[in-house]
Amino acid sequence: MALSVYVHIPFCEKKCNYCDFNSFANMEEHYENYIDALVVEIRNCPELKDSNIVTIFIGGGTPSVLPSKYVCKIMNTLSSFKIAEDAEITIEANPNSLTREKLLDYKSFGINRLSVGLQAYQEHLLKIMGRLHSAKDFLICIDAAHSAGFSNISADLIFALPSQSLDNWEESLNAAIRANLKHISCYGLTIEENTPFYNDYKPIDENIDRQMYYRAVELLAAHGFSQYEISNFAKENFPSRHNCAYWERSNYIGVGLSAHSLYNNVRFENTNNLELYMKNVNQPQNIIRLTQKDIMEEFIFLGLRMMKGISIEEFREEFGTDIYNIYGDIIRKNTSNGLLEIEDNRIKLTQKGIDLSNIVLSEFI
Amino acid sequence: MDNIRNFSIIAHIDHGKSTLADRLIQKSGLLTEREMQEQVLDNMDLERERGITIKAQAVRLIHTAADGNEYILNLIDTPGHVDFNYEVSRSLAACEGAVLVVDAAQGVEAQTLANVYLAIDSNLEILPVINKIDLPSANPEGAIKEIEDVIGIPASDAPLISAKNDINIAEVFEKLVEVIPPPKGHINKPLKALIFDSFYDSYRGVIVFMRVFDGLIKKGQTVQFMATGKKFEVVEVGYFGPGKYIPSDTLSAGEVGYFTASIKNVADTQIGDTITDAKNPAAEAFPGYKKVQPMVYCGMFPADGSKYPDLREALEKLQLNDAALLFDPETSVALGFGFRCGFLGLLHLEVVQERLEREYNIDLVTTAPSVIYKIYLTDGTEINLSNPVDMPDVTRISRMEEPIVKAEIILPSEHIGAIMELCQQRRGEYIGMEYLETTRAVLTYEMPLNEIIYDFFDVLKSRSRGYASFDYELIGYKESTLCKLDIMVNKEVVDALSFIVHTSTAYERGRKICEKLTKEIPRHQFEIPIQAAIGNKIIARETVRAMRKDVLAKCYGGDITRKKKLLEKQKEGKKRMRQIGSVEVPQAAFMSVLKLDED
Repeated sequence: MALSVYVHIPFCEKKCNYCDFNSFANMEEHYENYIDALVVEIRNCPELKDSNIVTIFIGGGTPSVLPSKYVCKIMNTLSSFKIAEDAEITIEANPNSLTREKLLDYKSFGINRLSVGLQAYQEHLLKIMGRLHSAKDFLICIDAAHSAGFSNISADLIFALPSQSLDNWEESLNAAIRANLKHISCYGLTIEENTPFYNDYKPIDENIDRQMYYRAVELLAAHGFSQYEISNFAKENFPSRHNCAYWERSNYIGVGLSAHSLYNNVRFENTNNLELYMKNVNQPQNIIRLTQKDIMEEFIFLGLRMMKGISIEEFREEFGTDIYNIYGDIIRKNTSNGLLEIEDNRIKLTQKGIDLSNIVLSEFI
Repeated sequence: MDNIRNFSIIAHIDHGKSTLADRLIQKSGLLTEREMQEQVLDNMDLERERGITIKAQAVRLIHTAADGNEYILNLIDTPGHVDFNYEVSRSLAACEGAVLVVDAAQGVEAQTLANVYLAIDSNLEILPVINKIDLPSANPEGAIKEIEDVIGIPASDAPLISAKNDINIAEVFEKLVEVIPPPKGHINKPLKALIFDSFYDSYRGVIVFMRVFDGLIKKGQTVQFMATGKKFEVVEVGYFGPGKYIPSDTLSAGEVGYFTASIKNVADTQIGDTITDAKNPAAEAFPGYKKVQPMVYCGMFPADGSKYPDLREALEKLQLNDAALLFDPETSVALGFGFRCGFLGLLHLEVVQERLEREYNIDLVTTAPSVIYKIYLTDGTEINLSNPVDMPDVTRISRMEEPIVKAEIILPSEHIGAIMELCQQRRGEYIGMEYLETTRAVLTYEMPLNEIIYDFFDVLKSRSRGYASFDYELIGYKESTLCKLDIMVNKEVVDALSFIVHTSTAYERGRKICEKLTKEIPRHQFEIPIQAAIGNKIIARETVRAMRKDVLAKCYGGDITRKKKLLEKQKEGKKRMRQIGSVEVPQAAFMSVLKLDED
């Protein structure tokens, strides 16, 4: 059975000022322990046994901070299971920690996709975010990746940053476009509690936020990146298959600290306590056996994040009833107020619907 | 009869009325220390928390005086708030005397004055007592002088006590016996007793609290209520032990106690009514009986529409014990099904609201309180308007009148300027000012009641740093230029937000309400105008800007649960909103307009 695997590396050289995710800086002395625990978890993972691994995503944190030997261990352990010939195997990296040597190592481990955090192309913005690299580092690193033989490279960009101008944003987009990438993610900044940003900044004006977003859609489309999800853009045939697995509700197993899994309509997660995890005290937590209603809701609110939307036909096949029988009122209300549209027997968000997607999606819950 | 003393205690809030009552009960040896629940007389949680007495209660004490005789002391505890003025007056009418408790540090306050005048009107002997003399800030001489100067009764040999710390309580007992006259009355005359309270008990029916003036009452006797005309056969008579009813064979002239007669409804046992023998009735009833009339109305709606039957049931239960509470079904476009409720005053309203929420677990949305306006139509008919929604078209109105109260405010002199300004803003008419001492004065104003039920008390407290005390009584109706102010959300009138206002303050109030609602109503995908209007004329406008963006950028490592929780929270928030046209308005918005900050 097809399976996606997420591997979480909760370490960074330094935590970024906007990040509220489960990751830690200055933990070098724990790398060994953590990887050992991870290897044990992967080896004992029952879901991996009868599966055909179609995507692997080593994310974080910043996996590229790890010395290559640890990435090697992870890949070796995973290799004892069946990995599809054409599997998409991604590692997340930051420009400053991604050396030529590491790139060559990754390539030799079978990793075939890179997801690089550029975020912005202006030094002052990189500084505000607390990033350790310069704009130039990004170019050097993408060059190195290409010459190491990586052709499938993605970059993350952030818009709606404090003090970011529309021109800044356009410059960042153009830098990413020029770098000959296959995939670009554009994330609108969410200022989360318990981050330095929360105390220092207010969200920027919504109108500017949306202008930036529309500009990205437009500019990227003009350069052959089509939008396939609210925040993701790709050249033809290069949408992130791992990413799509989340939206399409394929089975995926998360290994590592606080990683999340969906397997045969059961959701569960690992402990978020690093100490316990490293002692291999890790039972699946927050196990939720999804009900038929949960599954329908997920089908809709995850599916609608994709630009192609949800198929009315697929819904009927999967749930044995017409989507209008259950959500007819909500669909009609949101099509009449311009947030949803129906095209080719598929329901999708309009441009305005994307902007206000939480309003639409919450109604299906 | 010579050995009976019937008295009540009057005091300003917090001056120690309940503490003294407890101390008297304890000292008379009726309860052991262990049985002595703190403040036995205030039974309701709410009463204890607010430090006020809402229902009158009574207790019989036995005291052996210095003269060697044993005396029966009937203490009738009275409600201590202006809303319950009538009830207070009936409780006082059941007594021959009143203990006036004055805080040695605070001196005479507005409520003290109001209640002591009621007592003097009822020809009661007043026994002044200075309490809290052990406080560092106590000034007993000052308090005595105030009582003599302001109230005009001698107070030089008032007992100086501390009810809390048990100082000089014996002197209070002795003075009670000495100062308060024994009851007069004739046991051979036909039964004549005064109802001063009643209480519904689910097993025995209504328990009627009464003072017997003439004759006697016993089990099996058929009695008649002179005002309502209803007749009942007495099932049980008795008197009040501390916290319990003690049955006895009879109650006769001079005594205080209760009877039951399988009465189903407190409305049959109106406070102030006269009980007499059905076969041998008294010649005339006691004077002063009034049927209680609500002065303040508001709409009460369950926050959760499905709780409507629960709200009805809860109101019915409260009404069993509260003949002054009125309610009728009301339907609001904005708030759905609820009740239009009538109250004696704002405190009564708040007490009922809190009891519904606390004892019956019903979340309420209440609408702005309204007084009763008299509207004279051009065709000669007269309307009592208690719900702004029912306001007739202006073209049909020839004139309107609004209720006016006499307000007395006692306050430290440094706040006089600020409070006079407040009264002026609230359309008060200055009547006079008297100094109680060099640093304290009593201000008298005539004010429209609708300016008081709003948020007057809160503002008064804040502008006087909590030092002003306040009391009022209804004195009549006065012609006034009033109008109905409507609030429109996205061009639709929200019926639950309409209210009657004086023309001169309409603009200001309209503007403040629009501002407040702008903060309370969440942004939608379209722009929402919030407008205040009189008739077709818009007098204020604010705008809730359109929401441009509500989107989650990212899903971390397949953590769908976190995303779903956010959406669920958003959905949950919506559930608690009211739909007005295409706008979702949170419940809190309806409540927010009831208290507009001053500024």
